[in-house]
Amino acid sequence: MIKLLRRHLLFLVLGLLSSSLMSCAGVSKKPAEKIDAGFCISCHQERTPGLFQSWVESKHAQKGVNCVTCHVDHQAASEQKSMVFPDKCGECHKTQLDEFRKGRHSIGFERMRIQGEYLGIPPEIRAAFCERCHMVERRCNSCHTSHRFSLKEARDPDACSTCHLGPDHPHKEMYETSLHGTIYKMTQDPARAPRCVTCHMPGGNHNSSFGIARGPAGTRSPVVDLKEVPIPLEEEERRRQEMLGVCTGCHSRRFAREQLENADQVKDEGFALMEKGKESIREMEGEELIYPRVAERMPHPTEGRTLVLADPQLYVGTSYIERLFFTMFKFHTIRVWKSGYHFSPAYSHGYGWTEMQLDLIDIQEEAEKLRQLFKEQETKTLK
Amino acid sequence: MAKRTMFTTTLFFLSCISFTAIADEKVVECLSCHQKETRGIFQAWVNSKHAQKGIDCITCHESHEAARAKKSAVEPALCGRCHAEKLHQFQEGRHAVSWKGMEEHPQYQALSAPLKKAFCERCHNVQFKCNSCHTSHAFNPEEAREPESCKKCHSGLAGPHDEMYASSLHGTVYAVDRNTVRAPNCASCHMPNGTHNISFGIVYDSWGNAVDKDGRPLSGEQQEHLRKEMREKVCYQCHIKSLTLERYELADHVKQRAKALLDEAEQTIRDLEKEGILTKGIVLGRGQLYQGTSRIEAIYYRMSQFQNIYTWKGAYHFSADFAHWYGWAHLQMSLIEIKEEARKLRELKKLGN
Repeated sequence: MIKLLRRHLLFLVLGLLSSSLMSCAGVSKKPAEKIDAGFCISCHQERTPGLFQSWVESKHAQKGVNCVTCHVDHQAASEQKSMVFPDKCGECHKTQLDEFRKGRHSIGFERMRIQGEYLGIPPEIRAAFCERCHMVERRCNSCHTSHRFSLKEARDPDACSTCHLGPDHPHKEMYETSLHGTIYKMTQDPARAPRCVTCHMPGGNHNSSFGIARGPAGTRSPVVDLKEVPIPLEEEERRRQEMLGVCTGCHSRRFAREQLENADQVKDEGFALMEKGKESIREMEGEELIYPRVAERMPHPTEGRTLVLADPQLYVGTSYIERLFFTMFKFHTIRVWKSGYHFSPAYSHGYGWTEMQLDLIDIQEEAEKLRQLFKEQETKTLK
Repeated sequence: MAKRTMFTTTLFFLSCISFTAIADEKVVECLSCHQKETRGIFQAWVNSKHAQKGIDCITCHESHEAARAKKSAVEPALCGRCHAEKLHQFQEGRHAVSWKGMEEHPQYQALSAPLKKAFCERCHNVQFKCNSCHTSHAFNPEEAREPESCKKCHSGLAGPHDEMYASSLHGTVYAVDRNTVRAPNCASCHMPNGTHNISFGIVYDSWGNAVDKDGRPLSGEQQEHLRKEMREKVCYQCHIKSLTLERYELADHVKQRAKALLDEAEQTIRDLEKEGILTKGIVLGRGQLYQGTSRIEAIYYRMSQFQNIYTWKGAYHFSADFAHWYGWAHLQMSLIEIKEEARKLRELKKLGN
C-alpha cells in the first residue's frame, strides 16, 4: 500500500512537472484557464481511482502523456463526455491512424447509420445495441481500452471478442473451434498458432481489412471497398496474396492457396443454397400469401415498400416465412462461409450448412402450409 | 509434498490435544482414514487457511455420526459462528431465499423428484451452502471471487449472466488482465468490498420487477437509493457521473421497450383467449410452464424467459451484441411468429365452423 502511495506521489510530481514544462513551452493557448495534470489528479485519484490506477500503470504515464495531453482541459473533456477521437491519438501514432483509415473499422459508425436494421430500432435504445461496437470508428479505446491502453490486451483475442461474437457474426466462436484457436488457447503463443491479429493485423498493421478478399460482414457476394464499390479482380488477387503472405509463415503456399480456394467454393455453395430459400418466398409473394403483405406494412427504412430478402432485410415487422429466411441468411449462411475461411469445420458444417438445410425445410414446409390453409380453401370457397 | 503433509498431520496431533479435550471424537481419527480414502478433500483442506488456523474436520462436522446424518453438509449458521458478519450480509441478499423461491415455483413443482434434484436443487441449494462459492475443502476466497465460480449457476438460457459479462468490455478486459483495478469481475459490482449481500445495488428480480429480496415492491425512493449505492461504491471507481447516469438510463429504456414487445405478444394471445380459440386462464410469464401448453404459449415462453432477459439484463451488463442479437432481435422475430400463429389459429377455427 505504501509502495502504491509512493508511486502515486511520484506520478503526481511527474505530472506537475510535465505540465509546468508544457506551460513554459507555451503549449496552452489560454494560460488563464489552463489546468494541469496535477489539478486533475488531485480529484480523480480519489473520484475515479480505478481509471487513475490504470493510467499510472500505462506506458503513457511513463512517458509523461497525462490527462491534459489527450483531454485538453476539464471543459473540453466534459463537453465530449471525456471522449478522445482517433485524430488526437494520431498526433503521436500517425502510422497507426493512417493504416486504421484504410480499413473498415474506420467507417464502422458511418455505415451503421444508414443500415436498415439500425433505423428499425427505437432511437433511444440504439446506443445500447449497435453504437457500442460501431463506435470503433471514433474510438481507439475500443481495443486499447482506457486508461491502460495496453498492447498486450489489444492483441489478445478477447479484445476482439467484445464485438466479434454472437449470432450475427460469430468470429470468436469460429476461431475458438478452429485448430488455430485451440492451439493458441493451450499455448498462448502466437508463434505456435495465430490469433486474430496475426492474420488480420500482421506486423501491427491497423488496416483491419488487410488481406480480406471476400465480404464485408453483410452477405453481399462481391467484395467492396470502403465506398461500397466492388473491387476489380486484380485487387481481389492482390489482397489474397497479402493474406497468403501470413499463411506462408507456417504453411506451404500451395497448401494455403488450396485451403482459401476451398473456402471460396464453400461460400459459393452457401450462397446458392440461400437462393433456394429466396425462391420459395418470392413464389409466396407472387401468390399473395405472405402476411402482412408488403404493401400493407411499414416501409423498409432504406428500400421502401418492397420485398427485401437477405441484406438489408429486417428482423422486424415481416411475415413469418421471411423471418425463417432471415435466420437462414443472417445467422447460418454467414457461419457457412466465414467459418470456411476461419477453418472451423464443425462450426461451418454443424451450425452453418446443416442449419441452412434445416431452415430450407422449414421455409418450404411453411410455404406448403400457407398454400393449403389460405389458398386452396379460398379456391374451394369460390367454387 | 509428503513432508508438508507430515508437518500438518503433526500439527494436528498437537492442536487436537487441547481442542478436542471435550469432543467425543478426535481429528486424528478422521485423518487416519480420510487422508487415504478421500485424499482430494484432505489435500484441499491441508492447503487451506482453515488448516493453517487449526479449523479441522470436527470443528465444522462435529462428529462422524452427525456428519453422516447430514451427508456431510455444513450449513451457513455453522460457518457464521466464526464469520458472523458475512453470514449476516448473506442473509440480506437473494441467495439466502433461493431454496424457498425454488420450492414455490410451479415449474419446480411440475418436475419429478430425480429431475428436481439434478436440475434445480443443485444451484438453489446456495441458501444452505457457503461452499457453493467457497468450494470444499479449500474455501479459497480468491477462487470464490473469480467469475468462474459464479458461472456454474449463472450461465445458460435462463440466466446467461456469464455470457453477458464475458462479452462485455468489462469481461473481456478482465479476461486478459485478471485484474479488478483494470476491469470489474462479478464480485466487484455485486459484492463490493466483500459484502456477502449479493442483492447489493440490485433493483430488479429476475422477472424485471422492482422488488426486494422477499418480493415486496420497492418504492421509487428505495430504487434510487439502491442504484445510488451501486454508482457510488462501484461505477465511480472508474467512470464519471454523467456517463454512468447515461448508461443506467439507456438500460432502463431498453428494459421498457422489451416489455412493450412482450405486452404486444401477450395481447395477441389474450385476444385468442377472448375469441374462444384458446382456453381461458392461460398463465403467461411468471409461473408459466414450458410443458403441456399450446405452441403459441411456448413461443411466448421463449420470449419472456429467455429473450427478454437477454435484452434487459444484457443492457445492464453492457453487452451490446448479446442484448441486441440474442435478445432484441429474437424478441422481434418471436413476435412475428406469434402473430402468424394467431392468424393460422383463426383461419383453422374458421374452417372448423
